[in-house]
Formats: sequence, C-alpha cells, structure tokens
Amino acid sequence: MGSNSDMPSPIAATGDMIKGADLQQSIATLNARSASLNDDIRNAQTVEDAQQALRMQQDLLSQATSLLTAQINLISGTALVTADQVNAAITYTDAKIKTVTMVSKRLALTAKLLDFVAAVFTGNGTEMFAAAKDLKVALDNTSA
Amino acid sequence: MQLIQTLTNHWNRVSNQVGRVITLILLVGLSGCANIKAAGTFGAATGSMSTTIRSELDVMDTLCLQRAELAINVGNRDDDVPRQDCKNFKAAEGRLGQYTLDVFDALSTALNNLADDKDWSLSSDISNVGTSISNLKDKNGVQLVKPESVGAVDKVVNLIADIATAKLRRDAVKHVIASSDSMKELGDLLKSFFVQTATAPISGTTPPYQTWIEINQISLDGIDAALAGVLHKQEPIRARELRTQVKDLRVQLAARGPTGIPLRIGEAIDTWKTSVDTFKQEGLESDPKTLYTQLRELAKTTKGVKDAIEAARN
Repeated sequence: MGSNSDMPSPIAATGDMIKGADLQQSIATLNARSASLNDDIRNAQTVEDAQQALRMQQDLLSQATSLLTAQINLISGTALVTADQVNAAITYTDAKIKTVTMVSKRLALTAKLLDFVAAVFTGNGTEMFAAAKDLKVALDNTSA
Repeated sequence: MQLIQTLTNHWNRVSNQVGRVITLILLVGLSGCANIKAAGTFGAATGSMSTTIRSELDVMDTLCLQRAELAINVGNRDDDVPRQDCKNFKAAEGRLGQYTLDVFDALSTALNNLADDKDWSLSSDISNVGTSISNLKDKNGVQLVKPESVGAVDKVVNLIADIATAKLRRDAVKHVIASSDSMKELGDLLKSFFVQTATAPISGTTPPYQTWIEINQISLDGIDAALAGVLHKQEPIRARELRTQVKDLRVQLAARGPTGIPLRIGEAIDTWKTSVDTFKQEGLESDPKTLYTQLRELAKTTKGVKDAIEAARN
C-alpha cells in the first residue's frame, strides 16, 4: 500500500459537483507556492536563474488563474438560470412596445381605408384605382 | 397627468348625463395610473450602475495585460501564457457579465423605452386618420363630416389610444416587478464576484475579484524582485524604468483591496437591491416618494464607485 498521495483520485459520480470552496483551496496552495519563489528570484545569482524562477512563478499563477476562471464560471452558471427569468420580463416589455407599433399600423391602415372610401364616394374610376392601389400596398406592408 | 387634464377638460365640455358618467368611469379607472417616469428613472439608475461596474472590469483587463507584458519581457518568455491568462480571465468575466450586467442593461433599456413617450405616442397616426375622415366627400364634393366633428373624432380616438397604451405600460411594469426577486438574485451573484456574500455558489471563499488582485500582486512582487536583484546589476537604468511601471500597477491594485473599490461596488449593488424592493412596492404608484429617495441614494453610491475608480487611476 502506498501513501495517500499515491492513491488514484476517486472517479466522479453522478451528482458530484465542483464547489467554489474546493477550487479555493487549490488556488491558495498555488498562490502560496508562487509567492514563496520571490526569495529565489531576488537572490538568484544569474539573470537566467532569475528569469527561470520568474517564469515558473508565472506558470503557477497561470494554473491558479485557470481555477479562478472555473470559479467565475460557477457563478455564471447560476446566473444563467436566473437571467432567463428577468429576460422573460424584458421580452414581455418589448412585446408591449411592439403591440403599440401594431396599433399604429392598424391606425395607418384605417386611414388608407378611409381614403379609399372617400375615393369610392367620388365615383371617379382613376381616383378609386389609385386609392385601392395605396390600400393594397398598406395591407402588404402591414402583413410584412 | 396630461391624460387626467384632458379628461377633466372633456368633463367640462360634455353636457349630457351619459357622457359625464363615461368620463367619470375613465377618471376613476386612471386614478391608480402608474408613474411610468419612475420606471424610467429606475431603469436609468440601473443602467448607470451597470456601466460603472463594467468600467471597473475594463480597468481590471487593462491592468492584467500591462502586468502580463512585464511578466513576458522581464521573464524573457518565448510564449504568451500571461497574456493568454488575461484573455481567459476576461472571457470568464464576459460570461458573468452576459448573465448579469447585460441583463441589467437590457432591463434599463426596456424601462427607458417604457417611459419614453415617443415609443407610445400614436398622435401622428391618429392625425392621419383625422385627415382621412376630413377627406370623406360625396360625389358632389361636399364634405361628409363637418370639420369641427373631425376634431372631436380625433380627440376620442386619442383618448382611447392613450388609455390603451397606459394599460400596456402598466402591464409591462407589473411584469418587471414580478421578476424583482430574480433581479436581486442576479445582483447577489454579481456582488459575489467582488465581495463575500452568504448565498453565492462560491460562498465562504475569497471573492474572484480579490483572488485576481492577489495573483497580480504576487506576479508583480516576482517581477520587482527580479528587477531589484540580478537584473538591476546587469541593466540598472532599464530595471529602474520597469520598476516604476511595477510601482504604478501596485498602487492601482492597492486601491482595489477589500476596503477599496470592491467594497464600494458591493454597497452600490446592495443599494440597487433595496431600490428593486422599493420599486416592487411603489413602481405602480402615482407618487413613489420613497423610490425617488432610494434612487437618489443609488446615484450617490454609484458615483462613489466611479470616484474610487477615477481616484485609483491618478
């Protein structure tokens, strides 16, 4: 039997979830290791040694950043569900404004219809034809 | 109020009993009319808060890239890992922003549109109907509807349109109010990015914003250590120049400690959440005094965030 650190990690089961707190522990460890390299960097005897230590530090911080983005994604995942509910209210509001546009279109159509009626009253075939054409265009635009 | 005035004027003109009863019903029906301007003010305050918080995220991205450039140059890296980290972090911020700040912006726009009379005015369309009515003539060219009657028809159609749109607006405000708990939850989730909250999915841990500050500080400490040590011996002038850049970045990060900008952002979000509650209570009232007081408070806390970001820049 090896030590605990030699044991394979348990396989994730259904329902297992990554929690922010689990990630935090790893981030803290990586950050602490990164910070501990500062003395090595400061006391390095050659430029190459200092730069190598600095690159290593940055690589550790890069790992920490990856875990940090995973933490942020956990918040975003929860926000996604809630955002849908608020977005539904916003969509409703937009729909109401569109309803006003529909009312507006209906009024415009009514005006065209009345123009056509006025043309019919004149008995003038040319005017009737022109008004009928306008009405048809208005109807086509409304359904578009 | 304009509508009430119109109705009151109409009351004075209406002579018959039936007409007066109808006008009275309309007046009673509108007495609980929502103050749509309050919804617009709430929307504008929400938008202002969202824009201010977004500006802080932009500053974070800029600081990250400046620090990454230093890490690449001083560490003599042949890859762009530090720059890529900033991009990944920005992408994660973007996803969070998409479900919080973008929603607040959309809410702000929707409420502003709700309050904007331009979007709800049908007067120009109604005038077209009026013109068409006045065009109605018999085949001898005699106007079928008297000019004074055309005006009366216009007024009635206007009145009906005003009432219809007022109802549509109230319905929309009601729907926004119904989602107020979800709005507050989004506020809490956004807040958990900056400061500790009890209910966030990462509750009990260091907020991501503060972890990000810590990562950047450690990186700057390392860069400064290299510049102060063997690199200083090799290139003292260049090392001194770069250390000045490190110092500037450190000052900006220091302003972002737990008692600095994130605390102010947390306060602004809390004030906004209280405003959401007040909007829920008074959003449909004709004189929402408490809401206006609360929105003034929100404007003040949002300005506090703005000022803190600006002060950190100098």
